[in-house]
Amino acid sequence: MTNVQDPQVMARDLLRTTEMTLMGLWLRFWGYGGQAGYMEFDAYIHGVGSMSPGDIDLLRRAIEDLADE
Amino acid sequence: MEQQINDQHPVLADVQDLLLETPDVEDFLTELARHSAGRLSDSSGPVFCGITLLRHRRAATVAYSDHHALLLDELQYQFKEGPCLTCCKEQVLVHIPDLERDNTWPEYNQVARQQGVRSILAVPFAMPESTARAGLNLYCERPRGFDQLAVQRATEYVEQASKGLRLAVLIAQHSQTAADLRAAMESRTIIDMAVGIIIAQNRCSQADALELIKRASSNRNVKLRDVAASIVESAGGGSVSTHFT
Repeated sequence: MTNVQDPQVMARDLLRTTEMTLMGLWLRFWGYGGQAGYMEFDAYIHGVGSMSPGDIDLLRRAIEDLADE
Repeated sequence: MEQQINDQHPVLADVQDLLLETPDVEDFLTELARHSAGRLSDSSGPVFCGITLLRHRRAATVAYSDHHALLLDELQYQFKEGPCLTCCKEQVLVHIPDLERDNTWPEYNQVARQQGVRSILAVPFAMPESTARAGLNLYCERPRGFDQLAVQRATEYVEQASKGLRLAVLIAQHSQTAADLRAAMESRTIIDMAVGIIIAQNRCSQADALELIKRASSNRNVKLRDVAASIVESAGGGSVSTHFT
């Protein structure tokens, strides 16, 4: 677990190297109270859009918890 | 020709029955491996069958008719080469009539022969819409264990079974999505309730409330969802359930 890594990069790594889908990841993020919609989320992860700092933090938490499972 | 047609229909029916009778993809594949081994064995000797699934460049045997086939598959993953891996990766049929007369994969060849195998046939499953690739691996202890008819039968068999496999994978993906949705809604319910409680108690915004839960989660190293659950419980909400109807 590390806090210094960029959640955007972590998310892209996760999608590339595991079975996790973008929808699966968004659902987890949304389950944590994330506000960004699926399209916004998709755009952020692929570097063409932005999300609020609060949402970015939730994405990081969702990914970290996924790694713990 | 007539024999081919007669031969295909029971395969499709068998595969459909297997799909209906098995609860998940893994069971379906195990039955498929057993069934394939049974159908392709003849009086001259048994055939062992393994099914390799290649996802994200990682190969694994997901089903097998017996442990012999599992071992023979896994030896290939260790050497990172062999007939089934080539079959899966390149989506081509690989047939080695006699290991003693073949030197394509020298290391694997040697250990396979030590295991008593003489001929190998690997047939790729056709899964065009899927990111996964799969192959049916057949091993026989006799040289030339798979004659022209056997190769043809195995190819036809896999072709029919591919449809069942695609359906099984599709069903598994849908049930996974349904399970993910349910988990997300359950988690979100409890977090939203905790956010609501904090808003009422602290007269703050939704974002501030969520921030408070996050901070508590980080400080105590407890998952967000568990912090939310304890907030709801301490406010008298008891245990929370999400209603789907």
